[in-house]
Amino acid sequence: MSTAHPSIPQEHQLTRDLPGEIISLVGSFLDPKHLFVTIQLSRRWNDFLVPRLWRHLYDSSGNWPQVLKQIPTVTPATTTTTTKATETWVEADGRWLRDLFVKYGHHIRSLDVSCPALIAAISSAGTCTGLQSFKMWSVRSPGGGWYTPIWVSRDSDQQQQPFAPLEAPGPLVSPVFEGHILPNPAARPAKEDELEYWNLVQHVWLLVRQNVGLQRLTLCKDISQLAVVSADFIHDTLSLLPNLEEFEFSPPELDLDRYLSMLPKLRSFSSDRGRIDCRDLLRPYSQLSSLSLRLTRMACPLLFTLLKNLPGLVSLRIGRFDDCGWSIDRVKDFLGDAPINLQGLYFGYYLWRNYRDHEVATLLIPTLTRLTTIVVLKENSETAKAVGLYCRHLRVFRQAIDETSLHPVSGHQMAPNVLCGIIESCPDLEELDAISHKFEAQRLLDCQWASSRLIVFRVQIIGVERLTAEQQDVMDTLVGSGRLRLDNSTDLQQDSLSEDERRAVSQLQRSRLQQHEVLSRMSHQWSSLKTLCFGHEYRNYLLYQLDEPPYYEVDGVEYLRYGDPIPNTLELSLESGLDRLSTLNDLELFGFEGLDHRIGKAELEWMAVSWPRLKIMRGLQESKLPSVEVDKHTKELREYFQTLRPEVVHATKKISQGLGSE
Amino acid sequence: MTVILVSSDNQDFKVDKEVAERSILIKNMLEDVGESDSPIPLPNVTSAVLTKVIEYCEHHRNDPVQVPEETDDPRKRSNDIEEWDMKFMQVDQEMLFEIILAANYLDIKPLLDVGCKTVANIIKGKTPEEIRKAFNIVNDFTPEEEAQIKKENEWAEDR
Repeated sequence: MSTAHPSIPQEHQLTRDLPGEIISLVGSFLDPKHLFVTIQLSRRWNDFLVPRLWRHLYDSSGNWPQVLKQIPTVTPATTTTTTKATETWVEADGRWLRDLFVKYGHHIRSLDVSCPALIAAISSAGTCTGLQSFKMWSVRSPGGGWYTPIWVSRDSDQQQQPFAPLEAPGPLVSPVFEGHILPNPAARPAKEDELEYWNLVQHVWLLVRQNVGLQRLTLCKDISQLAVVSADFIHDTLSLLPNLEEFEFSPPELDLDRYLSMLPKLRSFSSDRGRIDCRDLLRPYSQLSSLSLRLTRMACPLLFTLLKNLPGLVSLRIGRFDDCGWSIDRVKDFLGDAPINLQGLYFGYYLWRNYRDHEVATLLIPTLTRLTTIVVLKENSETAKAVGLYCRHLRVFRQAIDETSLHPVSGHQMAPNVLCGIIESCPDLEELDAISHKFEAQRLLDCQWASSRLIVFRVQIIGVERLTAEQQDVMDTLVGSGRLRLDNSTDLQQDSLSEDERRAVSQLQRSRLQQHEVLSRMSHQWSSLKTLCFGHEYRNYLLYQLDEPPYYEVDGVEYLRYGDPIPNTLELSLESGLDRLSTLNDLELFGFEGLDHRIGKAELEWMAVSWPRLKIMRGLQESKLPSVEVDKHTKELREYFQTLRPEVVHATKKISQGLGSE
Repeated sequence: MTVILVSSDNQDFKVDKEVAERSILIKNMLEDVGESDSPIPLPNVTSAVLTKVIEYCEHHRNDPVQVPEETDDPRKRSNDIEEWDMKFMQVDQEMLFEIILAANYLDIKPLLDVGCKTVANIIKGKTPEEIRKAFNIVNDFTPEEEAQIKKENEWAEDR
């Protein structure tokens, strides 16, 4: 590794050491691997930097995976159990890990772990009591890989019966669990892992209870699945955590009211699972600002109860919205004068088919006048219109699942121009990421563009009056014969042209004028753009999982079916005004319709020099699907651009360029 | 408006108030004293070091005031030093440490950070022995202790 500092002449060597606080500060700029070196320097450096090294423990980083692999998969059940002679070496190694935390556990402030043996060691050591953050995103299985439940199905005539209770796979780790924990009969781990997981759940909860200063806690849904812990125990534990600010937890039943009444500082709560109903929230709570129930079907009464009783809520993520037959008048009556401060609304992750565009547009959006960010699913024409009408402060409009937005059966048949309302009425707009939306070029030009600070613009542009195939042939012949030089600035000598030729030429002039106009206006008004995409720049590789063949044929050549090529989109040739975009100094991502552009080598050369910050190009990327014939022209262009700007990635994956944080 | 700073070796430095106030220590002193022409003694800073510190403050006189970070980001980086600062820090090691100590005493957080980042960059990529040599640190561990430290922290080792 090179150092930024020149080598030091020997005579300037130091005669004294740095103060401890400075050593600590230096440590804050070092990675664990460098801290590992500095703690070996001397006792003094060791004293000041060991706390820094152990401050954040993340068991998927560094050499933890290798270190943990050496530890046999046995959980030290409790600190009090006596070990059996037959397990000596195994226990000895398990104890080695525990002893490590007896020595270092008190330094840890932030713990990101997934390994059961590690959690057990930390919890049994009992020294790790200074945690501010404890995150468990997933559970690693003792045999390697991740925990996967075996779901127990039941006969249809047993549907109403509860599962027969299971016997606990081992003794309780601590008496506090007496009467509060049972194996989950619905989702079982593999037999050989049962004991490990049984202990894990208890160690996780014990560790939580040892850390009453916790500010951030993430317990993945596996923790709630691996064993059933009583609601009383959960509530009792939460009552020990007055400083908790961020909490992620997915129990079968959510008692949001109870959580909020016990956790006065809770700012953010998220859950992947869990039933919740509107009786849950009995009174207003002002502390919560972010709520994520991304898999929850939000019935109208529940959603508006949340909005009414959580006046501090600025960010809300839900699975889907269910109107339950409410009308907008009923919604208004229900809300009364309650101030609705919601700024971010996110739909996601639920089956996109269930997105209720009309209901969201008519019941929800009109109540959310302070919205600045909305992330919607595909069929969002009405939502988009409503947002343009009601949400004047909008900064971000984004489609949630952009990689499938051009799914041939998803009906990307949204009416064109519905985003005009947003363009015209949202002066703060920064991101319009809506690749399945279409603007007709002329309609876009007719809009007043309210915002001058757009950073992301990603839509389809259609309706450019380009030449028909026949007219193009006529033009090509004309230009090829040398009878006509195409030049933007000079009037064309039209006398010598035939009727067909004249028509083609004037069509071309009209079309280019329009394209010049679109691109000029963008370059003037949106010079801060970082992402600019027109058309189907993203090819949907998931399509091959469909029954319908994901290809279509043009002149005997198979193309990947990522929606038909958009006819009459921007040419993006220099003649049609690409060079107007020279003001976009910050452009990082440029995408274009991969089949209907007129980008050639000259255009690529222009882009290579005009957009110094370009990182990603979409439109020339390689198809990842087998059996799709390589598009030779695209390949040639891509390879040419790679010689000009080798660092620019030709994206095949979704790359988030979004602004609106989620 | 200007203020006069006096180094430990009794040299006077006349600087703009705006520049001097890059030091939170001096800023607070000036606020406590109010309008006053009396020179400010800085008994912990030599004239050589004070010259460098003033040079830094002059260059950064218009920087926005740094908001103290509340979160303890484990991924603070040392490779984001701007070019001018990098050149500014190309001094011998004694001076580098002196500047860091002065920045600490005068409470000039950005200078302190850039100094510590520079030290961090010197450390990176070196073996313990090389670092000890560079910083004149005496190894006071027994070989057994050293082995134990390595074993207990091997999860962080670069391998």
